[in-house]
Amino acid sequence: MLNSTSNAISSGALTAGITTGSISYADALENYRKNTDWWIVFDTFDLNNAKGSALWISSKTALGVETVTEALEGLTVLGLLVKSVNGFEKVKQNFNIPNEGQTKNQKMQDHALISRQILNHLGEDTRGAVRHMGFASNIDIVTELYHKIDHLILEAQEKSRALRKEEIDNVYLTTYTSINTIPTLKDGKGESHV
Amino acid sequence: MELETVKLINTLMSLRKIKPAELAKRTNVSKASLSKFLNQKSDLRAEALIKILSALGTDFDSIMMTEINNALGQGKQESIGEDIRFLMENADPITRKTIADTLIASFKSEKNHEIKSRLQRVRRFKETIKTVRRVPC
Repeated sequence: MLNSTSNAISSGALTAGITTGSISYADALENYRKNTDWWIVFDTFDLNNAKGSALWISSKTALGVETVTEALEGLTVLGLLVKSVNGFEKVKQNFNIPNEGQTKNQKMQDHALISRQILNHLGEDTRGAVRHMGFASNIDIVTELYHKIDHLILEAQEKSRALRKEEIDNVYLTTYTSINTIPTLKDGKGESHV
Repeated sequence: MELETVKLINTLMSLRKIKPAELAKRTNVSKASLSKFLNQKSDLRAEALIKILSALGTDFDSIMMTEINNALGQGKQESIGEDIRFLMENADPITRKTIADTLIASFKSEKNHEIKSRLQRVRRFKETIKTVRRVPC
């Protein structure tokens, strides 16, 4: 796990592309799991005329060169990118994140963190779609809603992967949350299974 | 009076830009007594010292109250800023960065000068957060 009590992690002068040490697999995995900046960096490789350089990715995104450099190195540690004479290149599309043993609470915490990061991108200059609503319902309807949205998100990802590079116009982040607000009963009746 | 206490009072006067004459006036302590005290030539009565500390913004009563609370096991009375700082320091770096980003996103269209200036500090703080450790090669 990352050091949770201090920022004092040796960093080096990354703005010039110089690093002082390598990133551990555990840290890379932790960031790939829940740091959406790394997702953005990884997905920019699918943009038209993408260049595997920290400066190019930083100029395309709102991310600092140091953040991009760390992400590029971390994604390389995970085997998703390789470094060549032409810069970084994407060599894998998927990476299975091991999440066995994660408690429901940890999953919820990660989802909240990731969703918050995604929502932080919202702004006047953002293109996207939002919908929020509250209604009294039951768990069967909400489960159906989740499965449909889950299916649609995966379908959209699959369709996007079939696009030609020149048809891709941006990197999009998606999050879906639907939760009960009245505490569920302990006897199992009405207990959440989403 | 201990040398260190006199030094601290002189420092506080200097930081708050309060001259001895002004302090004497605010506290009803004679200029002569105050001058002797500040030059470590004599002590002050407890009442005069408390008035001086109070005039310099050191609330003697609240210091005593905090100590009583500590002795009673009710802890220090800290500001919300200190609580947020403590929680941030104990959060993992990705969470810390996300919280900083959330503050920045919440006020990004803000025109108020003070908010913009404080937000600039949050941006600088965010830049110091490292989400990975470097292992020496």
